[in-house]
Amino acid sequence: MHSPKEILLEECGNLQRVLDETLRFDYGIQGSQEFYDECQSRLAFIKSELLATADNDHQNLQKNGALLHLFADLLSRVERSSIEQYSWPFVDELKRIALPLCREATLAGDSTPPLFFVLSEAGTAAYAITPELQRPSCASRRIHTIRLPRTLKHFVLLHSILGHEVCHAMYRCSKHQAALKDILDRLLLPGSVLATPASAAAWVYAANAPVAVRQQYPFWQRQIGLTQANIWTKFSYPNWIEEILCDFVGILTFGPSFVAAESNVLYSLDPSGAGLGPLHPPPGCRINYLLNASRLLGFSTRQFADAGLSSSATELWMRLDGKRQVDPWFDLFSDQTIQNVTAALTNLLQPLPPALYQPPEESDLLLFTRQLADSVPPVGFRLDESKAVKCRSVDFRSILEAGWIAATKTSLPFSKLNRLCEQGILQQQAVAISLQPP
Amino acid sequence: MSALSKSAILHWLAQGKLVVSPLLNDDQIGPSSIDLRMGTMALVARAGQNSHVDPMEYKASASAHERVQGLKQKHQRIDVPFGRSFLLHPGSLALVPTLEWVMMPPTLQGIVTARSSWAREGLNIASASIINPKYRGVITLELANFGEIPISLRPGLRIAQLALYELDRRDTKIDDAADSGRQFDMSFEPEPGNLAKGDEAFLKDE
Repeated sequence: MHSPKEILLEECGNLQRVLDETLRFDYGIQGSQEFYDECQSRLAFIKSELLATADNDHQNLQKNGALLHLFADLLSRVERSSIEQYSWPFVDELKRIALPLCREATLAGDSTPPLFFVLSEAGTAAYAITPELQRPSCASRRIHTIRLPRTLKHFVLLHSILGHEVCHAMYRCSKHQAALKDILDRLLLPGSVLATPASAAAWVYAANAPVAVRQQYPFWQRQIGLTQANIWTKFSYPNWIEEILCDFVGILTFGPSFVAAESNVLYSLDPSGAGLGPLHPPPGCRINYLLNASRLLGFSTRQFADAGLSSSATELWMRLDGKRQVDPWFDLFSDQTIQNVTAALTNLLQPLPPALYQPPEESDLLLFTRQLADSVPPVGFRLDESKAVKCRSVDFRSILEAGWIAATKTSLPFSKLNRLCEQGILQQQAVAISLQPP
Repeated sequence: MSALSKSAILHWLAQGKLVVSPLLNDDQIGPSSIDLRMGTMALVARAGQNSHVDPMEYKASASAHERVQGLKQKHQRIDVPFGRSFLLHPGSLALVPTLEWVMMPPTLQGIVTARSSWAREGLNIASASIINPKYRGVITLELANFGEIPISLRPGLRIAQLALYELDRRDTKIDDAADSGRQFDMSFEPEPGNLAKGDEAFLKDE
């Protein structure tokens, strides 16, 4: 018979072999070295802890056994992913946004960047960034997992929804957690129906709640015994609040394309927009405050000199506004609250470039939408009047925004439009490389 | 049918009737051709996975499993982001996309060949691939290494060139043809062709 310690040490050897197996394929854009090195150091740490643990120290054996289990879970995820399964040009750009937001102090330094591992699985509902909550030691870098839908590999226009998910990782990061909580507590919640768990429960069960909401009460009562009195023991109030905060970070990082992506994805999952769930507030509420924020931030009211672009942009916002829930029950926040929250978040994101969305120049949007109308990938390239090549670096979010605007007029299937935008993002990376000084 | 000169190519590009996008510098247009850059993936023919190339597998009557498995297992897909390299071994065949998106007008035909500097290292790009009028998409380069040592290829490198020829007369059938429905319309990455298409009559079992 083997002692528990011997079994756990045996598992260390197994994990080393699986870790080596992961090098059989490429699972990251920048290669596998960073992951391999981080995993090696984690395994070495756990093994050294185990070796130093006495056979009868059950508590520490159990603790290190749990760390090994988490490590095995991570490795199995690594083994299940490869670069060909997701849109790596998009992920490369997403990481540029996420890295400065998720740096934090570790023993390795005051501003250590995390690692982002990308996993491709399932369908539309799979979008997530799963922050790593527990690490073997504070010297380690966190490894966050970006989850992309396997079925939507090329749908970069929908991938804008990851602006929301980035905030979940940021919220777990020690560097910004306090500031984000402060914005929640001081600016977002006071005065709203969600101010306290009790007021939020009263709002869910309000007499004036829409029929589509009230129709769900019996379902949830049957399923989990949900009532107004116990709602926050069954559903998670902190999760609902965090979701809302992340929506505001999403719109500030990805701009109009986030609003378009979120409204399309959320309504595809819950066509009524009124769905109550344990972790998320009703989609209709979320779309309503995002549309209000779009107006207050000037996204939906932006004027363009070009008549065609202006008409397409107006059409986009009209279509998005068509997803607004007219019942005032869905309106959670006043304009003043939204302005205060977006201003505070802007101040937080501004010093962390390139996190904050910058509205594209009209000339770029015009070029990109015209390229898309001609079935050409949108990219910062043109011939000038003297027929000389002119290339310029353009933020990938401008391509996404142009994609959504072009979607209002094109006869191309949505899948082709997405692939053109993905190709444009890829080509734009080549443009950026060519513009670098030798 | 005559080859377009640099000034003629620029004229077509400036008018927007011909699209080769993006061009990263002026040198990419030569005296009578446009250089094309390597894209970011490769489909490498897998020796050992299949006993032989069999057009029968492409017949519509073949079972879906047989047909799809044959196509999918024929090549190994390798994604090659910028800054990384891909080794083309002697005797290997790889299908590689161009970085550029190409749209041909109804009156131009293109011919793709290897750039001579790469050809001298053993890199061969099919023998004069023809790009048809009204084609749109990335161009698939069929690369083979005819030398004796592996060749390291990197996305963004100029490895091929596109020469353009004006058709001697305008064919209204081409003008009016629908863009969709053609075998490689709007190609975003290489894919195997259909060896059986149009030749099914010759692919009957005795």
